[in-house]
Amino acid sequence: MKKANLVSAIIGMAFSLICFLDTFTFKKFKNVPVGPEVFPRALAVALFVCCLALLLTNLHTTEENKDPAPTLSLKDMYMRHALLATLIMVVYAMLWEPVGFLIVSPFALFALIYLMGKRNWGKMAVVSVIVPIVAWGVFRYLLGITLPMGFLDFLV
Amino acid sequence: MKKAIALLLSLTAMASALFAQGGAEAAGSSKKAVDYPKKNITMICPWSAGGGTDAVLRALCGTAEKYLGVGITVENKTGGAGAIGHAAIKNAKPDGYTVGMITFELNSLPQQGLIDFTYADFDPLIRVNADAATLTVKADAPYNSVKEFVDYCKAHPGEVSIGNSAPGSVWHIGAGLLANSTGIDVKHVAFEGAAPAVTALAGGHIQAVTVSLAEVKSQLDAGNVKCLGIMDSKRPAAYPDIKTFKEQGYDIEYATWRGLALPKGVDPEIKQILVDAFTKAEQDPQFVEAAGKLNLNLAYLNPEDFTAFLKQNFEDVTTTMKALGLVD
Amino acid sequence: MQHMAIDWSLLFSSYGSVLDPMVVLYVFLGAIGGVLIGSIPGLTATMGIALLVPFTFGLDFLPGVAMLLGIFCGGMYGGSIAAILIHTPGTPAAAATVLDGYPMAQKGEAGRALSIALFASFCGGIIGALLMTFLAPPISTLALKFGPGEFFMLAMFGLSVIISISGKSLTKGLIMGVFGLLICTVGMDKSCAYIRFLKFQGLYDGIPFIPALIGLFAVSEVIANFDHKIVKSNVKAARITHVWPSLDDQKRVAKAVVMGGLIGAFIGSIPGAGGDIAAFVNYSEQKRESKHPELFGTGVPEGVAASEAANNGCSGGAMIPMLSLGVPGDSNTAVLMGAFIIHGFQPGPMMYVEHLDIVYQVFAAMIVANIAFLIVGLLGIRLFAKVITIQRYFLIPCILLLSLVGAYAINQSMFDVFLCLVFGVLGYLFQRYGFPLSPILLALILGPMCEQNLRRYVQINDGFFSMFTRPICLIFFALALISLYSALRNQKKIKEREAEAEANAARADANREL
Repeated sequence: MKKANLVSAIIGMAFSLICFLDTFTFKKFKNVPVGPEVFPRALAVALFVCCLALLLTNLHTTEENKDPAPTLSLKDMYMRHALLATLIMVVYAMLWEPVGFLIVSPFALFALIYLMGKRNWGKMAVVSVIVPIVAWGVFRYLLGITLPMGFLDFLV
Repeated sequence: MKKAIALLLSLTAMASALFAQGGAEAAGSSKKAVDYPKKNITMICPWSAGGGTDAVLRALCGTAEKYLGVGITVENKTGGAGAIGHAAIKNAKPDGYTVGMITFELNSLPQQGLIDFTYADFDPLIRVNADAATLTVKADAPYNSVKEFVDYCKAHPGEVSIGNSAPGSVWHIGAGLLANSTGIDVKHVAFEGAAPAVTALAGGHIQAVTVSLAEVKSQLDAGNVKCLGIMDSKRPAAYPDIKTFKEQGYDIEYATWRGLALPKGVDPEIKQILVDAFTKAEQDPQFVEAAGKLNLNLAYLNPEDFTAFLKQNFEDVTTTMKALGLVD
Repeated sequence: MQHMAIDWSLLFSSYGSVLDPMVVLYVFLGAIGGVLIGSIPGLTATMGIALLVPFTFGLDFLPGVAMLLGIFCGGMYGGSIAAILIHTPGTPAAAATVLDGYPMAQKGEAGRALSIALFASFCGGIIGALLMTFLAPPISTLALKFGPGEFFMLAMFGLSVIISISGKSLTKGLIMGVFGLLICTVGMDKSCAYIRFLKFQGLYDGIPFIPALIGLFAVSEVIANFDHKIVKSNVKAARITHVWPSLDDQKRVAKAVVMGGLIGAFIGSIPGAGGDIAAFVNYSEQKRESKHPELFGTGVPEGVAASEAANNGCSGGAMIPMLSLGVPGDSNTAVLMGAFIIHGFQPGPMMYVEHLDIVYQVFAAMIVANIAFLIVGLLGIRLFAKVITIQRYFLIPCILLLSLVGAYAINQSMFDVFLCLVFGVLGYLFQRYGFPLSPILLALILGPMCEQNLRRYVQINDGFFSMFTRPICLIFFALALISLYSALRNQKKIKEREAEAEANAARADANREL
C-alpha cells in the first residue's frame, strides 16, 4: 500500500494547493470580520499538512506487504468491467432527459446484469423491464415525482 | 446475435421517433377552442415544503381547484435562494399547465448576479400577499419605540446586531433600509432563515430583527419579544398597538410579497381563465381563513397593477441594495 | 416560560383520542411507509414526510400528524435495514449503523444485526418520546440558550468524533474529514451571498447532501461489485431463529441503548442537530468506553445498537424545540412543522398555552408510532433478511437504478444525479485505497454548522475568545477534548492489540511449522 499511499498523498497535496490558490480570487468583503476566504484557506492548509503527514509516514515505513494495494490497471479484466459499468451508468444518466427514464432503464439494467455475468436472457429481460416500471409507478403515483420522460412526455 | 441487437435498437429508435411525432401533433391541434384546463396543473414553488410560501401556496391551490375543475400539484423546486424555482417557472412550457409562485427574491437576485433574468421575463398573474417588515426586539430591552432604538444605536455605534434570513434577502435589505434612513451603524448577521434569527433574538444572542409579523407572532404572543414598529401604511389589524414607522416620524415602508406568474408566451385566453380562478380563490372565505391562521396580509393586485408594482419594486430594491453596498 | 407541571388528566385523555382506530390505522400506514422509505437508499424519512404533508391537508389533524410521526419513527429504523444488508444507509441517520451492521451481515449475522437494530431503535425511540413528554419545557429553555458560539462548539465536538470512526489509519481519516469540510465551502457562502469555487447552479446551496451520500455509499459499492469475480453465496443465508435479540444480546447492548436514547434525545433537542450526528456521537462514546474498542468496526452488536438507539432517540428529542419554540430540532421536524401550519397550529411557545391538548396528543401519538414500527419490524425482519438472498446479478443493478432515482427525486434535478455518480467514483477510489468514508459524511453534516456559526459569533461579539466565558461552550469544548484524548488513547490500544494478535498468529504459524 506504500506506493499507493504516496501517490494519494501527493494528489491530496496538489488538490489542497489548487484550492488554496483559488481562494485568492475571492471577492474581498468590507465590514465582514471573517470573510469567505478564511475557512477554505485554513482547511486547504490543514489538508496539505495531513497529506504531508501521510507522505512522511509512508516514506520510512518498511511494511510493504501488509495490505497489498489494489491495482487499477486496465490489464485486469474485472477492472475493465468496473470501468465499463461506470461508463454505462454515466451514459444512462445522460440519456434520461432526451430519451426518457422508462425507455433507457431496461437497456441499462440489462447491460449491467449481463456485465455481472448473468446469462439467463428471459429472467434478465423481465427484471430489466419490470423494475423501472414499478419504480416509475411508485414515484409517480405514491410520491408525486415524475421522472424525466423524454419521448413519452405525453404520458405525464 | 449482433444483428438481433441492431434490429431491436433501430426498432426502438423508430418507435420513439413515432411517439415524439405523435406527442407534437397532439399539442399542436389544441389551438382551436380554448379547451382548458384538460388535465392537472403543476404549480412550482421555489421554497421548501412546510415553509411559509409553501403553506400559503398550497392553501390557495386547494381552494382554486374548485374553480378550475382540475387538480393542482405543487412542486417544490428549491435551492439557490429561490433562483432554481424561479428559473424553472420562467423556462416552463408556456401551455398554461405550469404556473409558479414568485416572491420578493425575484427582484433582489438579479442585482446580485444570482439569476440572469428579471420580472420582465415572466407573465404576472396576481399578487397574493404583502407582509410588511417590523422592528422586533427582546421584551426586556431598554427601548420601547423606534426612536429610542435609533438613539441607542447612535450611542453604541457598531455594537447592535440585527438578524436576517440570508445576505441579500428581503429582511437584510429591510434592515439596511432602516439603517440608512435613520443613519445608524449596525451589524447585519445572517442566519439560515427568519425562524433561527427570531429564536436567536428570543435567546438574547442578537438585539433585533426586521422580519414580518408572521414570523415573530408566536414569540410575540408568548411575551418574549416586542414589536417597536411596522413598516406599513397602517397598523396591523390583529395587533393595533403596534405603531407604524410613519406615525413615529420615520417615513419607511417596506414589505415582502408573493404572487403567481406564468412563463411568457401563454395564450391570453388561458391566462384569463387562470386569473379569474385564482382571483376567486383569493377571495374565497376558506382561503381567507387559512391565510388568517398563517398571519398573512392578503394584498391582491390584478395582472396590470401587479406588473406595474413589480417594476416599481425592482427599482426601489435596486436603489436600496446599492446604498447598502450589496451591489456595485 | 411554560408551565412545568404535567396535566395528568389531559395526558390520559389524549391517549384516549390517539387510540382511536382511525388514528391507529394511519400510524401503522405511516410506520409501514416509513420503514419502507427509510430502507430504500435515496428515499429518506424527510422526503417521505415532505411528500406526504400535503396529503394530510385533507385529513383531520390527529390522523395526519400520527401518520407523519409513523413515517418519522419508522424511517429512522428503516435506514438500518439497508445499512446492514447492502452497506448503504437508507437514511443519513443510519450512516453509523453501516460501520458494524454490514460486517455483521457479512459474517452471516444479518438477522441478529437486524433484530438488534429493531430493539435498539424501539427502546431509543421510547426513551426519546418519554423525555419529550415529561421534560420538554425545561429542555426547550435550554435550547434557547444555544447561540452561534454554542453551535460552533457543538460542531467541534461532533467533528472530534471523526477520530473514532477513522478505522485503521488516523491520518487517512483526518484527510477525509478535512476534505469533507473543504468541499462544504463550495457553493454559496451563506454569510456573504458569494459563490465560492465552482459556479454551478446546482451547487448554490452547497453540495447536495443526499445525492452525495448515495453516491459515496451506494454507487461506490455498485462499482466495487464489478471489479472482482462474484464468489457464489459467500454470504450464508442468514438463518433467522428469532426476531427478538437474545437475552444475552440484550444485556450486552443495554448500556449502548440507554445512553443512545438519552444522547439522541439531547442532541435532537438542539435545533439543527439531527439523528446523524447523534448516531455518530453515541457510537464514538460507546467505543470510547468499551473494554474492547478494537472490535468496533468488525461487527459487534454494541456498534449497531449505539447508532440505532441514538437516531431514534433523536426523533423524540427533535420534537421538543419544534413544539415549544417553533424551531425544528432536525430536518424531519422542519418538514413536520408544515403539517402543523397547514392545520392552523403554529408551533411555538403559544402551543403549550393555547393548544395543550394537541401537544399531549402528539406526545401520545409519538409513543404509538414507536410501537407501530416495532410491530412492522418484527413482522418484516424475515422478509428484509431475504433481500440479501436475491442474486447479486439482479440486486446490484437494481440498487443502482434506485440510487439514481433517489438522487433525482430530492430536487428533481439531473445535476444531482451526475453529482451522485461523481461521488460514486470518488467513493469507490477512496475505499479501494483505504480511506474511510464516514468522516466525509460527518464533515458534510457539520461543516456548514461549524463555519457559519463561528463567523456569526465573531461578527456579533467582535472576537472569538469570549466564547470561552460561556458555560455551554466550555462544556462542549471540554467534551471535544475528552473525546479526542480518549480516541487517541484508544487508537494506541487498538494498535497494541493488533500487534499482539499478529505476534500470536506468527507464533502459532511458527509452532505449526515445527
